[in-house]
Amino acid sequence: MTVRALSQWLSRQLVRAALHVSPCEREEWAKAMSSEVEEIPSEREALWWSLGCLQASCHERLKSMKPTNWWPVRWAMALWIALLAVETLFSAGITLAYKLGIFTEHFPYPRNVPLLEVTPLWEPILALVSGVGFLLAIVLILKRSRVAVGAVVAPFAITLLLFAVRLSRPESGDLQALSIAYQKSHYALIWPILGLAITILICLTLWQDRQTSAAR
Amino acid sequence: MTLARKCSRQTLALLAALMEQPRTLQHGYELSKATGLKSGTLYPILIRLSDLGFLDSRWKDAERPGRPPRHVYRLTAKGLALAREQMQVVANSKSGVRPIMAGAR
Repeated sequence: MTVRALSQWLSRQLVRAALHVSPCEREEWAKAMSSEVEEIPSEREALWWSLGCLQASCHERLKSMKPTNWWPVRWAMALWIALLAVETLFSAGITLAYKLGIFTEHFPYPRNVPLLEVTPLWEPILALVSGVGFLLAIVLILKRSRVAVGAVVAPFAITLLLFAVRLSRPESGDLQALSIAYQKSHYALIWPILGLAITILICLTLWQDRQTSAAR
Repeated sequence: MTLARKCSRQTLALLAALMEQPRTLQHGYELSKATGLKSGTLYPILIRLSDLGFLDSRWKDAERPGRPPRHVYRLTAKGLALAREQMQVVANSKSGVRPIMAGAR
């Protein structure tokens, strides 16, 4: 096999690989790149062109890949949101139950009664809405809906707002709880920060998922 | 998806090449020659410009028989406006279009 024949063979193989790698929605572009090879007079140049085609196809393939295409990622995100939903609904449920007088005799958390007394009624109602929003988000994430990002961001924003309101009210006890945890260990705050970071990461992933329009 | 306020040197070089003959449909290889961009850089830019509606792309039968049809490109009205705007930005800065095209090589 001569150098020229080898070069032509390599070009063909690279073009074939580029067509194979290219995502479905970019097939036309892959064909456009590869059809140019026929018009390049020099074999050496054609070889470099084919290599570039493969590079461009890989670039497009990577761009079209979305983390949510993999089911373990979707399930992990749904699991995290489920934890947030359980936590939010539990605290909202307990507070509402106390406020509505459901536990008239044996309230299971007597130590929390002074805190619950000073909690306004709208707080658990808002937390309940947020919890229901998280539950809805789980379904939407698993169904790969485009509105999943909104369903996560809205209750997450409500949760952050409630947290900020509680921090601004010393009688809520949140600030003291954080302060005590920090005094016990300087690393204690890593966990809430990590939780916050994970939720923000999920929001960003879902937002990116919504932006890119790759074939499913 | 939007284009950055100031395009990359490679995108500017491509816009300049397309702007030189705004009515002519140009091939990828031709544009590669004009800008000095390799196919691996040129096509992702072409794809992006096309996605954003700045580029009109279509298939054209090959001039010689037996060859596959070729993809050809030209700027849309929106693309031409963008190219002009970007060239103005470049003109206002110290570098010009020629250095951009040289830099892309």
